[in-house]
Amino acid sequence: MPLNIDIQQILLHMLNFVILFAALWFLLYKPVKKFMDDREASYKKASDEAGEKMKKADDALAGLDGALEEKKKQAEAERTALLASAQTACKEKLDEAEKRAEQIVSDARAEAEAIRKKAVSQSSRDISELAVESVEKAVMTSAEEAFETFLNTVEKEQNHE
Amino acid sequence: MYLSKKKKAVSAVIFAVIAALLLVGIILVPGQEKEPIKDAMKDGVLHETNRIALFGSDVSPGLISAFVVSGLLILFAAAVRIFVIPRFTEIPGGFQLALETAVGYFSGLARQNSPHRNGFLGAYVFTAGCYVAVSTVFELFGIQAVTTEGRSVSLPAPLADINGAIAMGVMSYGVILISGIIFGKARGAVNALKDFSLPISMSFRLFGALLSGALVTDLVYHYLPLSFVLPSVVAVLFTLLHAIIQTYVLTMLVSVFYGESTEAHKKA
Repeated sequence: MPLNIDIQQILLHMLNFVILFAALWFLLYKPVKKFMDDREASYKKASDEAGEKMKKADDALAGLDGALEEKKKQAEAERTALLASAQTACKEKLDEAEKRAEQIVSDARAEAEAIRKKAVSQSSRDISELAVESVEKAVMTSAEEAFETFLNTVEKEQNHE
Repeated sequence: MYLSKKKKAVSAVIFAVIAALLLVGIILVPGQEKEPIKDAMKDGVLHETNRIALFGSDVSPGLISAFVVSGLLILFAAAVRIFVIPRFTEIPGGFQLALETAVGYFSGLARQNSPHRNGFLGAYVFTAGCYVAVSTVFELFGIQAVTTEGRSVSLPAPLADINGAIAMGVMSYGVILISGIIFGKARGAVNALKDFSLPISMSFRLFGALLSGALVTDLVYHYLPLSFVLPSVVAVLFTLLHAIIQTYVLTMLVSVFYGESTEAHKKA
């Protein structure tokens, strides 16, 4: 054949390669590949487990965040309620104080009015008494003077006689 | 340990004298009668003259090289399987890392080009890659064999023999075709058959590349003046680079065509 091609030698080369292929596959390629695959699988498993743990931790953290948020909302609600309660109580106290103040003012006014009335009454009475006394005094003074004058006149007339 | 200047000069002179004496000896002493370069070149291509007896029939030295290379590789694999692989560790050492890199490269090549089916392909390209690389470098060792004419020849690269290259190309095409029929059914078979020139191109690419290296190396070694310094450059250019390039090309082509022929087609 051209180029010294020999079918028998080609077949011998093929047989040689097939034997080599089988030997290398089972002795070298397969065990090394298996070792690499097992190692990769173990690393993947470890990675998956780490990922799972990370996910759990994230979930727990998210749960804690939710609980924290819930607590914040509760605290806010309680604060709002307490604030409203305090405002109501304050308003009640304020109203009560206003009422008491009004009562005090009203009582003070009444008392003042009574004092004023009493004072006015007392003043009227004092004035009356003073007037009577003045009149009495005036009357007494006039009578005494008239009587004196009379006596003087009488005396003068007696003297003239 | 540092040498004094005087000792260095004496050493250099001794070295130069020995080298000069060897050179004179090589030139003056008559060598073995050599075959003419034309015959050597022709035999390098056709392997008609220098044949080796094997079990009663004459075969080309390339076949002997193939057997030797395969034997060495199988011995190496068995030794690794028995002594090294059981001692593999999670964090690989130097040799384990080299093995894992080789296996990982070829299995990755198979997975990348044939994502759906690559178990067999990975093993095939691994074996083909090891065989092409080692058998190409093998010619550098210059292992001698005796021809039927009683002449000593250096065993060539197995794939520099046309029969070895054809066997490799046809077998690779066979793997692609049979896998296409098994996994890709009719479409896979058609895909493989339409590239009918593939075995020829694969075979002659390997043959041409490795033969050219072998011929250039023969040419260089044939002439005495070219036998100094130049062989180291030629060996690197035509043997080591060929080993890497042809390994890459063959395994890449087989992976790509295997992936095409076994590709799963979804119905539209």
